[in-house]
Amino acid sequence: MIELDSKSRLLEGSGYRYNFHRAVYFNPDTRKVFSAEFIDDHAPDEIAARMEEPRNGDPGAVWRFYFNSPPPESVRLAVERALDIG
Amino acid sequence: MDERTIEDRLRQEYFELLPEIRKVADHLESQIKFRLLGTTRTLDRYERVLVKARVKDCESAVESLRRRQEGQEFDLSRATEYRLLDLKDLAGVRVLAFPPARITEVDHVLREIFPEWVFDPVRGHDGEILASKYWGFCEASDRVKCEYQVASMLVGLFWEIEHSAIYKPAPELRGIALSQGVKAATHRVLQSLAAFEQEFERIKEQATHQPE
Repeated sequence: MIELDSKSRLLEGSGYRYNFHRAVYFNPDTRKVFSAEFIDDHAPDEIAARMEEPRNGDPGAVWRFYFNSPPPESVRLAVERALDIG
Repeated sequence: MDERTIEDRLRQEYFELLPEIRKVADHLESQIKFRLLGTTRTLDRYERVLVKARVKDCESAVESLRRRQEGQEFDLSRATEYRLLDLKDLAGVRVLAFPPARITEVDHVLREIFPEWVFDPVRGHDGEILASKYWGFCEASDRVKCEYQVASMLVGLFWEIEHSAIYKPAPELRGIALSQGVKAATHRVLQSLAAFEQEFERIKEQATHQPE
């Protein structure tokens, strides 16, 4: 329970919004997207560490995905489309 | 080459299976109601046992498969691997009971009838068991799996509203069940319902032993 609340606070406090259609948390500024499953399966400090990860020269336009399993191409494209439109 | 979408292929599979799914649901419901007669005929006035069968509708079945994918999207490179027959709850029966002593009794009676079925409980956020759920095959079909669930009536009635709001929402709210805020709110409700049941059992125990 405490963890659910602290994850909510962490995500919202770090500028992440929830996409109900894709069940992902995303931040348009950092171009990072976390699946709900990833958030469920990782502790708040691990999630925070991923949020802080530098982009390592990634072009700003590319979304970085934090999924439990790397998303296949068709899934990545569908999520990107949804986030860029939304 | 099959140019239909994954969803359309699954819809076709659904309607081919539907008569069999209905048969399974009817069979399981009848069997459970019959076996629970010993319990349902001896209920006290404040006690409840409710048996309800349901057949998963087509879009819920497709959505259910889709919801298992991160990003809520089918992987096109695995298009032919998705099958509705993988779902364990195309047909299901839910048994709701109150108070907790009746839940335990019902669970025990049904466990004896379906000893081979796989225990796959519904757990809350803290790992607590919210419902005893079992899946397996009944005599009506050897390919359509079915499940039955034994749960607190308070939790079950809450789930009826919660599930219709959370699992069958408008498309734009599809992932509502996975949001951390909704999970936290749901957890608080379930904790309160459990506290009510515990207190009810405690008071009932006191009243039973009180001289008139």
